[in-house]
Amino acid sequence: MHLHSLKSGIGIVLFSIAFLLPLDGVQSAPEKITLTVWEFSANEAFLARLLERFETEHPHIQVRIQQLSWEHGLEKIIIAMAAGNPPDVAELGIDWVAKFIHAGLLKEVTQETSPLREHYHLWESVSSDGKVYGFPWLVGTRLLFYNKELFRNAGLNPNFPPRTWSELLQAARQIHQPEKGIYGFSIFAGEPYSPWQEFLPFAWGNGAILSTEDPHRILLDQPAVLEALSFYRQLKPFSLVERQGQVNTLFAEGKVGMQISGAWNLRLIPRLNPELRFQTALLPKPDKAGTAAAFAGGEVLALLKSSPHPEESLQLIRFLIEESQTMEVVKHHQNVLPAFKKSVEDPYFQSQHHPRRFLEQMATAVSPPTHPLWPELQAFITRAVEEVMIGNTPPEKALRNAQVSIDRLLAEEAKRPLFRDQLLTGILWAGCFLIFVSVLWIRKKREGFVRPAIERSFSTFIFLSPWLLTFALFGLYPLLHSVVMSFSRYPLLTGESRFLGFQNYVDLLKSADFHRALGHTLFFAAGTIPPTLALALGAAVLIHRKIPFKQLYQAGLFLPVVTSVIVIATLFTYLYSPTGPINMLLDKAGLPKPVPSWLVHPRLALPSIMMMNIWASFGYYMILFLAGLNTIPENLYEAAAIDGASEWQKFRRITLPQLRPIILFVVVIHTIHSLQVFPEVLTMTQGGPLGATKTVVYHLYETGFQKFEMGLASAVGYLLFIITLLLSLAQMRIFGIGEETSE
Amino acid sequence: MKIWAIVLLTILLCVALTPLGLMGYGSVKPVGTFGWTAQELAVDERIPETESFFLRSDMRKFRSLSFWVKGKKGGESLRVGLRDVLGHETSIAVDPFLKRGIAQTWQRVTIPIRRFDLSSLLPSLPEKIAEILTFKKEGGVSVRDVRLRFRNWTLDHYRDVLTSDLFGRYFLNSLLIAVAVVAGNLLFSAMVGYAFARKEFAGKEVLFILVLASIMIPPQVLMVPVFILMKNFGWLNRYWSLTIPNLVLPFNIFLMRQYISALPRSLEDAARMDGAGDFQIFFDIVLPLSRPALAVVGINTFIRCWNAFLYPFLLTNTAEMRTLPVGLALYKDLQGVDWAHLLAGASLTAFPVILVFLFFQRYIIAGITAGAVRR
Repeated sequence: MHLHSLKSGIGIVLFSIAFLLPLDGVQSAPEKITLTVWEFSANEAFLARLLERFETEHPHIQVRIQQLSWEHGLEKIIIAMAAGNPPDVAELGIDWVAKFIHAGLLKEVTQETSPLREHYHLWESVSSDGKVYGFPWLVGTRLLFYNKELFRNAGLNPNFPPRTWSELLQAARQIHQPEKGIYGFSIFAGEPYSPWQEFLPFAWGNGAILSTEDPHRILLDQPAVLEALSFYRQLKPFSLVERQGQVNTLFAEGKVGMQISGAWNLRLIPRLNPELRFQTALLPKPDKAGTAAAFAGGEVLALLKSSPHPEESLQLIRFLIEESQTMEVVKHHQNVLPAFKKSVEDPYFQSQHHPRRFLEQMATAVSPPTHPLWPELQAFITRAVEEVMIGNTPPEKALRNAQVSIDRLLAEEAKRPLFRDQLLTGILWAGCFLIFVSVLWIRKKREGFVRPAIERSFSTFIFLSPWLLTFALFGLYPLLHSVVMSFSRYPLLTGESRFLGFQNYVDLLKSADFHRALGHTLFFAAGTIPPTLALALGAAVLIHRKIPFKQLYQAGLFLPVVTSVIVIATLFTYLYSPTGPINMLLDKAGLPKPVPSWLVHPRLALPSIMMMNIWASFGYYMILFLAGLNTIPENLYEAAAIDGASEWQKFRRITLPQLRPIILFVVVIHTIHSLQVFPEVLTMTQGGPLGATKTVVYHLYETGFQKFEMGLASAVGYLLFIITLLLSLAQMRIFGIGEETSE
Repeated sequence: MKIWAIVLLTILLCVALTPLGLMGYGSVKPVGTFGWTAQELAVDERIPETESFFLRSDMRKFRSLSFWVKGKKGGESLRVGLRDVLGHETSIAVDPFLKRGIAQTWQRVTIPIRRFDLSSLLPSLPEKIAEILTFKKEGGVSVRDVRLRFRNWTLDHYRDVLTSDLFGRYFLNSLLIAVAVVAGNLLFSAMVGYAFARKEFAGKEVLFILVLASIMIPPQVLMVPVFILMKNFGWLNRYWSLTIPNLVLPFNIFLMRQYISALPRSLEDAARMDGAGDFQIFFDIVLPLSRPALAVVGINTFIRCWNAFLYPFLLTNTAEMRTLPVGLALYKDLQGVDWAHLLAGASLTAFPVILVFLFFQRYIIAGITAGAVRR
């Protein structure tokens, strides 16, 4: 690069930095009270319009809305709380409320809510020990969606949907024609939430109550649940076992007879297939006694204890949960329902029969037990369902396993070591300091003998300074902080850290979950690195020869790298779907298709992600190799050609040795990347099916941002770091780090 | 041999591009899933005791509305209307679409959808969803077999994304951050990489291990402390927090170090003999020789910056500060976005990256001979 282009590069930096200033966020007027609201459900601009009304009624209050995404919103709330930067009012899903109550983050509002009690749904979900901690805002439940045409084709009357379990089974059996790609019913599996959310209502309807008199015990292994699970398994031969997203698409395509779904389908189906003739019905109930239970979810507005303006925040919450405001959100969003019971009478629901049926279903809907550990416990129920549906475990055994895991978790939680020991912290720090000093001292002693004289140290310092500065300012503190976290119990929600010494590491080294995650990660690395590098190097060497349309091939093969991992993962989820292009190709070729399909198959899910990873990353390394190939002086090849060397000999004797530093770089970087594989897993399988795609970083993420044990999560991170470091050092030894090409 | 190379590369190219082709195809398809397309929609769900039909459709997906019409004595008037869920309505007269007006025999009418004023339907939703199709009749007009014909392809999804709240601002934010970070990395990573490749200094190995360590620590571990740090700097919701810490990325330092250590030393030695200083050698010899690697640094940094989601999401609070991936992720969540919008958003996001790649790629190919030693 020429000097002048570099100068213009610096110019661009300065220019853009100068630009950054005026664009920064606008400060609010000081005399007004500013409330921050974090929410998921409504569009920011829409809610802002709604709140203008509130701000005119309360001129001294200004509201700032922060829109969060469903996928990552919770992480952001948690991190902001841990950093002491929480909002005044937050929208929370009911499954998280208990955790927040337990951590003492929410303000009690028992008195304030008492006049509202009879007019709203979902109180159990915001209460703990008879006290109330939030305001129900929006609710959601599930209905049975069924395809009228498939009903008719199967000789069923589409005006009489199944009302009981046996009718459901019968209908599924009649509709199911897998050879034509038609499925009777659909069972969710291969992801964390939908399997238990679909299954538990069968148990609830059958009279199962999971909470016990002991507020901390959860009883899953009970006859009513077993009966429900046994029935659920009877549905399996006539069902598509898939992830919810896939089922929704296939239902819209008219290939699934019945599915249990939320209101989002009402919006999705007309988009995907406006011609689909479908109908909704209340969920079937057990043949004998029982109710048509459904899963009830919901959104709650909670006031945070830390808010400096509780009165104003309450006014804001009251404004939002009023019927007229809530109905506006409902009409605008079309996926949610109001928690306000009288809304049934709203003309909107009189004209819209599907939403009205959702409201009807709310009457018998059940929400999951309010338990601070529910986010962890639900995983065991999902596992039990998957064991039965994918793993062919008998229901009795699956439930027993789940109960054992639940009891173990609850017992561990009860006797969790919570010692606060400043002395130990001090000793550890002193130890670290001593090690640091002695390392420095040893180096200094050694350097006196070994090191060559250090010349022109000032210019070296200038060359190094950009990194030294950024590292000192932005790298060092997070590094040290996270190392300290890894030696502590650091529950993100409460933010009270307690020093544990090496406890986290010891726990991890003994933990079977961690071993499994490490196994999956190493398998992933071993399975992706060689093919990726072979493809990349092969393509680079071929392109580097003088072939026509060189740039076209180069750009074309690089193109997959351009798109973000999240989009690619979503795209491949479709490619791997049961009726997706890959299965279509297999069909055409007369080859068998995997059952259950790729991403739900415990053996195939991880290799499927690996295939995608190879596709998405080889172009990148190809470019690196091409850049490396260009450092090799042409005269070496010319000389070899004169000596009569073959192509293969030239590759072995010239290309490979000359490329060594780049190959080393690529190997090390790709190893690091594949050991850290995460976004693919999060988007495609969320660790499922049966935990077959849980990698180390996914385990870390789950521990830190779903169970909020950031200390343990950091320890996972540092164990992975140590493993990565050892591997990289070994690789460097093999490829020779310090070596430069012979001249 | 050459033929084989071309055949192999072409196969590889097909494999690499097929999923992307599907992506482009999915983003212009007005209706249906990937594997399935609808031609037309029969509107037959009549609202009891009225002359209206349930529709509940995104009107932009259709090319035309058609139906059979007949009058009792001929010459009657008929208006067709679309009504949304909040009661907004738009309607047009049918007569102009018939040669001689409504007659006593059945005639087929076809009305292009663009004749309706769709902008009056639910202005807050990107899709112009009509709940109900109404027929305002006078006298004994009969209507039957109402059908809506789908368009074959559409750029609406692109338009939705482009016109979604603040898309321009997101784009500008992303661009500013990416340009600053790429420029910083081009210069700084070469400087630091050069020092690691060619200089001897105290603690070199320890520092280099630190560089590697910064790549090896899973970023999820650092999220909480980084957030705390930025909060203490007062850099939450500021561009600073997304640019300054990334001006020199350890990954690029490692790359430049490897690349520079692979360069032949002879040129530098010769220049040193001629009395050139460190900076002169760096700017006049090392940088020009490193063009291919710098091109890779530029591409890589731009892609990472452009597609970054986690930190821009964590560290920004207001809509004005969002980058493209963050804005699109929120857009997707809210509208419960289907394939088409997701893919259109992805294609729009990918487009600048392709331009950047095309800009840098000539430096990768140019090779050592073209760039070498031009003083």
